[in-house]
Amino acid sequence: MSETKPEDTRQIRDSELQRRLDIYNKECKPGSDDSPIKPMRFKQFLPALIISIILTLYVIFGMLVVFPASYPGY
Amino acid sequence: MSSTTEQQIRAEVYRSKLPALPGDRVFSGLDHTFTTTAWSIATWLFVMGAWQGFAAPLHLAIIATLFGCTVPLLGQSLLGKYFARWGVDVAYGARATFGPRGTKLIVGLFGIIPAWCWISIPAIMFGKAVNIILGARGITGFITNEFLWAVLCMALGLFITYKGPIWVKWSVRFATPVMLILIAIITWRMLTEWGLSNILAIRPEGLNPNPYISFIIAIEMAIGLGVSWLFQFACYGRICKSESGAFYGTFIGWGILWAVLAIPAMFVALVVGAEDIIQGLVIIGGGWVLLYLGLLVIANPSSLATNGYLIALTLRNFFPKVPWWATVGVSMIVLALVASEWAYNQFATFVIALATVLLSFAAVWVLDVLLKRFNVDIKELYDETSKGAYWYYGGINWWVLLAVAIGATISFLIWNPLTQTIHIEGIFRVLGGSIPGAAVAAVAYYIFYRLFLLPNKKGIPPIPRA
Repeated sequence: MSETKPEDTRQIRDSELQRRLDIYNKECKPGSDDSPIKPMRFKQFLPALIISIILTLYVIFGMLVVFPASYPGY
Repeated sequence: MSSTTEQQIRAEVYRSKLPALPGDRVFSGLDHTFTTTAWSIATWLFVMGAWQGFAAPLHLAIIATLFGCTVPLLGQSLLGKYFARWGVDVAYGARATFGPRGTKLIVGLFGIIPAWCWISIPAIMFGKAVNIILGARGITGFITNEFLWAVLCMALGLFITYKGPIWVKWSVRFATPVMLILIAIITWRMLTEWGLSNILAIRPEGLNPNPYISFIIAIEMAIGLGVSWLFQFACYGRICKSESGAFYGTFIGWGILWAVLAIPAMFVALVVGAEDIIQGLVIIGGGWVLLYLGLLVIANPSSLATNGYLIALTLRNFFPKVPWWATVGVSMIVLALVASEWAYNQFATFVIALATVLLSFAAVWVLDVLLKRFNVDIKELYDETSKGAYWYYGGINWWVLLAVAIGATISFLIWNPLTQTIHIEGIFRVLGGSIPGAAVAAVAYYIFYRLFLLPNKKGIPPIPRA
């Protein structure tokens, strides 16, 4: 790219896109352990999974226990 | 490369289709959580909380909101991980599942248009709040005009959008902690005024004559809210430094915190019977309405800014020739909605109707990403020709649309959220309407994937490695 040549935004964007697509896998190493963008592993997913299971049990508890206690007769 | 060119490129990464390289990643997990929390905290949060309070007593409303807002995000937040991995916007990343033309159709119809409806709400309610507060202080005249304040709110939010995500990041580093403190103070004041045991004892009229059905409708509303984020995981996820930051930023900010922070609005709905939190604060009296106004001054523009960025970025990628200022400014179209108040008055129906369709879309999209193990050929995402790996059939993955149509039909067969008519009460009482529809959509897509896509390698190119 020239130092001084005026380039419009679109030209810059399109030429930069090709450069980035060429190097993305090499530079980002998507999903690999040595990627600079830290990958997320299953054990990191576990807290969200546990919270979701607890909340699912919570809503079942709401349907089976809390609701009948709040509205006797329904 | 000149520094000017480098600056232009850096600006374009945040405003266009350029994939974000590691050096462009400016969001930590905390920044992402602050951003999604600021996105959540606005009048829409309180309106949604109030509707939960209209539907069910406090304890049941909290259960419905926590479940409905958080659990759908467990799967959807994986899209945050996906977009963080590939650094692309939804306009490109979604092509791996929907195809290039399918992405424009689906994201345009179910992403951009609902987002415009959403961002009209904070502007409307900000105008109303200022009007009420100034009126209560005996101030009259043009300065109390709701529309004027709605326009100002929108303009401030879109100015931050125009400046880009780095401005958003620094704005929310200030705004989010302040808003959390203000909400905690307001919640404490309400509890001391009304008493928790008194609030718990209140039984609202409900959204249905049968209180159990009303409770299930509350869950459906919360699920509708929980899936309304579906097309929004890319805009900040792609500039996160880690995949887990992208995942938990959305899971916490849009899920758990939304549900918890909606609770004071439930108090107001139950005690005062109003959907606007300000009505409750007016009754409490003192300077509390001014404190709330202070909260809204921060909350509504910051929500407009974060949501406005999503709209502007996606539009810019759909229409690359349009300059950035125009894709930001076009969101002022919602002022038409602000003037008509249509979006605000249709809020609950809008959210529930979204749930029936979007939960099926979410199930299918997340399943497709999981089946492909988060892998894409990034170059192919940018190929819009019929030779592209993600071209599918005429640029659209029709199997997605068919699976979603089946799922949405199942949902509507169980209950119609537009008329609130329940057709299959046995299923609705146990599972609601949108969850069974989404489950059927996922099963249908899995069958289509195994039978038609996998054998023909449609949308499943070999993945290049470093």
